[in-house]
Amino acid sequence: MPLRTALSPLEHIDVPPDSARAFEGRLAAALAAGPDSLSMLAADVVARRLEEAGLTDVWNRLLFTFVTSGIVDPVDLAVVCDGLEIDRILHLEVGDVVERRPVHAHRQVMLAVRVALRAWMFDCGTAQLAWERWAEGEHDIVLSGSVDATRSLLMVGAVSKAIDVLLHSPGP
Amino acid sequence: MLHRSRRAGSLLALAGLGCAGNVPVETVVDPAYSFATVAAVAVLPLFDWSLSIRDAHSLTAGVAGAAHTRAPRVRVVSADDASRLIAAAGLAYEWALFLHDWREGGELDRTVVMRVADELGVDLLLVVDLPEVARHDGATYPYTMVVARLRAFGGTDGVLAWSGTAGLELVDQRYSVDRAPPVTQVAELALHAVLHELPQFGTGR
Repeated sequence: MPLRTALSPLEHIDVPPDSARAFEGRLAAALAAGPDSLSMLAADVVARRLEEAGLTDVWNRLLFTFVTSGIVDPVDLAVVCDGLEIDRILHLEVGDVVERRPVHAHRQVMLAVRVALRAWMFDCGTAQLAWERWAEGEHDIVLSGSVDATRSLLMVGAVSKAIDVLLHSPGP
Repeated sequence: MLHRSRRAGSLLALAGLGCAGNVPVETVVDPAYSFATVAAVAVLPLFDWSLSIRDAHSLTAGVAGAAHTRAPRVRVVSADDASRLIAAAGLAYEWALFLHDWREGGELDRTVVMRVADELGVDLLLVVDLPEVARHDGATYPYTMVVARLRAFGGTDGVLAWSGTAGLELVDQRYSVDRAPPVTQVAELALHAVLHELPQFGTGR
């Protein structure tokens, strides 16, 4: 019986939604093609089902509790797992963002960031965090256009590289 | 009435090449709290965006170890056990709200502290956090700055019995010539300094 694994949506202020959906797709495809027998529930489907079942607030509360106290609320996790009819739920977060001091050379400004991508697998059976994987990606770019637009490009590039690291690193 | 003191002039210390040196620690103590009669303490789990779960476990395990060394006769509940018991008691969200309200300067529900302490069977809750983390990569001055804090809440009335805070900025290029040192390394050094100032407890006098 394949493990029913849901992928929850990646959200970050500097990562545009279309880029986030592309990252989720890459991750879901890699997991589905991996050695574990999985039945993947895509992030957009998960978001829709949570909304339809009125469980978005419960999921957000679970994440709030976890990232504030470090404790997984077993009751909220059970409600989400039952509502989605899943065995596990994988959540991605952009963690630490370290900026590099700008380098000025040849009348150009080179910017760089290093981001930590955190992947958390919540297990419905044990009501615990099964594992965390932490992957770093670094990206640099020449400043052009607005600082905000450049920052978004930097973040997307760094998260993309972190996804590469995540997919090519040994499992937990 | 809380008493505030500082062991050195500035809260932030600068260290290089992995040497923390003398890290100043700011402490706040409630003189009315009886540390001597403490029979059991719990270390609460930690989450921080700059630390992996494994590194956060390592920091809280260090606090539990230090508490045990400091007071061998006092029962110490580990962060893992505290996490399991709080979750089983259905107090996870309330505890998270308490931590959030504290950070935001909101009104505190001290009964949550009392309920958590009661559930864990302890007199004192030890709560670690990193209120400030700043990092910069770059060839000229890659640094990591961490402020680590340890708070002790009394279980019977939910008050802040003691708090210790230390800040440390580390420039250490052993890891990489242009990358900021890992947060966990700086946090360990700062927390070590804070633990040194933790009042004696469980002496029974």
